[in-house]
Amino acid sequence: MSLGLMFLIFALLVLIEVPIAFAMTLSAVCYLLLEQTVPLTIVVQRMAPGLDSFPLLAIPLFILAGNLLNKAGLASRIFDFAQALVGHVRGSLGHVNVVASLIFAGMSGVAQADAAGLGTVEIKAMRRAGFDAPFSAAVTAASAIIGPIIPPSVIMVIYAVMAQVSVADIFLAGILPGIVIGLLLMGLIYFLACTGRITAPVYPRASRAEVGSSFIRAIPALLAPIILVAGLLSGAATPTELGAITVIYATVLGFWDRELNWQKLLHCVQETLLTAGVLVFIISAAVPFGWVVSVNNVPAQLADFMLSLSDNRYVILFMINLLLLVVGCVMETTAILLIAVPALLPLILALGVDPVHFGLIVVLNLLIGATTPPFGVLLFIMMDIARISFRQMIRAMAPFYIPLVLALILVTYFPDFVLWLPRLLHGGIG
Amino acid sequence: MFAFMAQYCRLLRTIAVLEKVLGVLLILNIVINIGVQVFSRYVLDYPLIWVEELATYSFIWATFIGASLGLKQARHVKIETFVGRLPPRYQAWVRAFGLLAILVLLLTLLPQAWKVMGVEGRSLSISLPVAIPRSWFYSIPLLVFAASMALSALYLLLAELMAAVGQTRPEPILFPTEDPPENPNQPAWEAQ
Repeated sequence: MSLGLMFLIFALLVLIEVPIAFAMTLSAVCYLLLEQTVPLTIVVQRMAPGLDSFPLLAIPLFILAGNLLNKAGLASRIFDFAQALVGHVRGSLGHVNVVASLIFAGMSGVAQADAAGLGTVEIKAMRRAGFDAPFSAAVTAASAIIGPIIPPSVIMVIYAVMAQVSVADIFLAGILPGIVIGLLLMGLIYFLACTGRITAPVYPRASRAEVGSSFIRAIPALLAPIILVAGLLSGAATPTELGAITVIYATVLGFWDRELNWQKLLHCVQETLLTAGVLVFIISAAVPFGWVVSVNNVPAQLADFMLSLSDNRYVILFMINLLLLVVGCVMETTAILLIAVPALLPLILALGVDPVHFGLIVVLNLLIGATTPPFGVLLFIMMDIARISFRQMIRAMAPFYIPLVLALILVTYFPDFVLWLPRLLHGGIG
Repeated sequence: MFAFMAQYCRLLRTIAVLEKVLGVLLILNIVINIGVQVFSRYVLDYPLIWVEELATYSFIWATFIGASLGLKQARHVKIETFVGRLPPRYQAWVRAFGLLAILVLLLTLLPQAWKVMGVEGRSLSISLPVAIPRSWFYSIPLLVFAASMALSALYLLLAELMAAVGQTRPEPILFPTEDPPENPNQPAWEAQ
């Protein structure tokens, strides 16, 4: 009874635009006041210790690294290199946009950073080349999803901590699916260009020398993802340590290229303090909420209920996907992650699904949710940059859901393709 | 009233400066600690465990500071619903109600944090060279920043109430950070 009331209070608070973090703690406090069985101190006792976790430290580090690399003026180098590689393919800058996002994904951990940082460069270039604004915005939003799939990824760190799996494993698990999403998006752009649904200017193929020189200019940008993946695959450093290494690398690079100065560095650190603070505060604020959900045995009951419907793991995974996609359309990503993961995990383990595999399913679902109306964050960022209306944005975005859902099906039903790289790290077992 | 709010705002901005300085130092400390850890483990082959613990404690403090600054700069993640479509006066009333809820929450947490502080004070940090009571990393940062957030929430609440009764709205505590296209994060102050 009071549990239902807690969810109702949470929903009402969110509806009147109370920030998610406060809404979660406040509804948990209301529950405790109604139940009177557990003292309120439990809220305070759980909030700060919930953050006492070394893997979570990777969050501010990767946000800072992303901010610094953004400031270091790498976006245009990556874009030039991508153009030399795929600019001549039908659909030209559409493909360039996707390839640039793939590379950028290896340095940035938040989809918003990809959309806003690189997105500005991408949309400007596509507009200049004669692409229409809504299409440019849609490609950028869809390809921004790749950012948190390919490591580093802030949302995956949160999942790993909640599901108690290794951050390195889930980082590695994202690499192949991220590349496949890129390829699927490029397939769609190619199709749209060939059937004349978009008009794309045709560029001549770049000469070897041009490819070479743009490659050399892009090396500093390419080095960041290489360090990260090498560090993860060799198992030599933890993701948190790799985060610090990337920050130091980005700082040195920025000062070397004279793109960074003390003032900009200070600005980046300040921005990180705010972004990470607000984000991690949600994690801490969700701990009492999650505690209430779990003492009420919701996860076990949910598992029993779902298993009574079907004990086929593919059917259940399908239902979970549907559920997450629908919820993802109306709720904020981190909040869903914090509520859904503990609630669904017992079910997933009972079905014998690898929690690393499940992590990828959840993250991809939530990211697709970030590109769907009515509350998709990425849509709003793109509308702002491209200066288009909501209706234009959605209409241009529509075809892109096909490759994205296709990728979701691949990720859901072909676990080997997700788990191949993490297994490689564990020497074939795992 | 307006003069009082201007004074109040100045006080909050001073607090914000202190928070920013402390927060920036803590973030830098995290980078330095982990950097030192990497160096000592891989280069000197002599792992220093306590820098890791220190980094984690800095992280907890930095999170609460960031959250407090986030309230001042209206950066906390919320879902935009129907409120923006209401007439301005009604918007202000709805926002005031939300801020009142936040204020009540923070004021409820404060005495609880005080109680927990006593209990946590009895256990100590694990690996730091100087043993420090746990409360310094758990309940004390929560206590300090719940108090600071309550001060901000009260100001914002009063500001909305003034707008709701038709007076000029006082300034936001902190304006959004400049150069939005280069700022990869949340859209900032969109209240007006």
